Amino acid sequence: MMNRNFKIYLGVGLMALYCLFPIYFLVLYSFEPSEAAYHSPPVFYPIAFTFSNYTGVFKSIPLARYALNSIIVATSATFLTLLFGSMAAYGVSVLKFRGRDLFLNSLILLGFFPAATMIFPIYKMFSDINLLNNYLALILPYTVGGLPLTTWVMATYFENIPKDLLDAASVDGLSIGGTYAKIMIPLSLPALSTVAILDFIAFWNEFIYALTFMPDSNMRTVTVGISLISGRFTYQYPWGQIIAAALMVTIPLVIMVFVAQEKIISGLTAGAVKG
Amino acid sequence: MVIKRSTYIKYLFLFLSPAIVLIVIFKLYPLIQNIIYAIVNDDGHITFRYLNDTLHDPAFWNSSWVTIKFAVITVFFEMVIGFIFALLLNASFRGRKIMRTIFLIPWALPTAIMAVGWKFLFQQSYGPIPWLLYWLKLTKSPPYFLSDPKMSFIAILIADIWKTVPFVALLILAGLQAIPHELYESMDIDGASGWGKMIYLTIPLLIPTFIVTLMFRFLEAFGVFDLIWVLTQGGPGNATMALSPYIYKKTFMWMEIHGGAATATFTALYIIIIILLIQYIRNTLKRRYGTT
Repeated sequence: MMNRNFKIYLGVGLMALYCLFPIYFLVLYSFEPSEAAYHSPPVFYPIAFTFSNYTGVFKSIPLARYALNSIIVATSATFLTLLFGSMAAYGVSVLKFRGRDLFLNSLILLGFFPAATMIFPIYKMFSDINLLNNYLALILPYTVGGLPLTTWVMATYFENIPKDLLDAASVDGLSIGGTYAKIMIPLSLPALSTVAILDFIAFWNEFIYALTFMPDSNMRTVTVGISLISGRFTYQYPWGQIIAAALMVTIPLVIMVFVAQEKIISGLTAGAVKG
Repeated sequence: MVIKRSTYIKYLFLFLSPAIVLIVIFKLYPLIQNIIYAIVNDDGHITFRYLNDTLHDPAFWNSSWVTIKFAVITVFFEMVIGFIFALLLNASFRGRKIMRTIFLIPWALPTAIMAVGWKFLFQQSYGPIPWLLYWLKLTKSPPYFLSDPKMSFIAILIADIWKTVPFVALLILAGLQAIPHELYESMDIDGASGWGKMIYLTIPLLIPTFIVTLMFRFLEAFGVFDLIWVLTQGGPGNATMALSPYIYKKTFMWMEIHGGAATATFTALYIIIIILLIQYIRNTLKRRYGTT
């Protein structure tokens, strides 16, 4: 009979294979010369080794510019969503008010409507006030997109901060605003950094708004920029370069995941377990 | 805290207003404006023409069917495989930490960028996946994934399931770890088998987690856009044209503002129906079992 340990390691091996097999091929082809993508049958193990795709892609598309756009948009939106989300969470869980459940529930329910069902009115609005191709055209909708998760996680976190602390703060003469800025925010840095990572990854990966609100090719984010590189026909695709670019822009995310996996998992599961 | 009521209201307003203003502008207004586009024509008259046209548009029903099939099949496989993976992750083995990091990679990769990767992997004549299937003798020749309607639907299923299974597994794992250990110990004393514990303890206690995961995943799958837009553009024909890409194509490529808005309105209606349905299921279970 197979022993239990063997079965578990077999299962774990299969899981790792499952997660990594598509990535294996992408890494493999990113180091092969560009013609390798048109070998039939394809290669399954390294044959040659070259960095030409990694250097070539910077000549084919303004990848550095796309990365800069993504960084500006994702960082600003993360900052704003943390600020507004934690403020709303403070209102919900500390100030408390009638209709707080209605507020939280509508926040979450509105988040369920697909972007495609609301994108045209926003596009029209941005076009009327000349905000297309402006970083704000992504920063503002992303900030809103981050609010449900941010508010939800922060409100739960604030609820667990001992009430004595708030009372002590008010005895010390801190106003409501002062309590938020000087007590609540410093105390919630762990939760804030968790949602910051989740929000940043979500904004870095966003596609439909970035595709629509930034028609100028210099304003594309990496996600849109890379998915739109192509030759005229499929058989002219510079596959090696596309794949190299795709891997390069995901490296920051993989590092983030590696460094902060505990935080990410606790943040992701916070909603589902309590929900 | 002892504060004056007027100060309290002033602060409450201050803290909530940024979130509320943004939500009104970027969520509530667009949803309502879309309904207005769907029922008011360019001359400002109310008309049901656009809604009616949508109901008689075979492409709309095709997209509804594609979306429902996509959501049901992907969520089903994600839950089943995710549950198995969660059980494995819950066992103790060396390298758990590394495994969890590996697990987050598919989730962290941008869907649109990975869709480009899948396009390469599925290519006919050059792609590794068709050839792998052929060499493993699963198919008679390397299958044409992206030019065959059935196969391209399978391609988007594979790409979506691949990305989301790890995420679902982590959610279920969190549910598993919330089950108190004593419950297992007391079943051990009663002499329950491994399967017995699974069927009478683990699965019933995970039902709340399953339902929440199901709800989040199903609603998300219903709005699928990035993957399809990049991998198949809804094609070949309309074989993978889910509702979101269909709305997008209608609105931004065919410039049918009103028609697109009518389709978006019906899509929003689908979402409301799904939310109500899931709430109904949750409430029924709550009444019957007293949990969730």
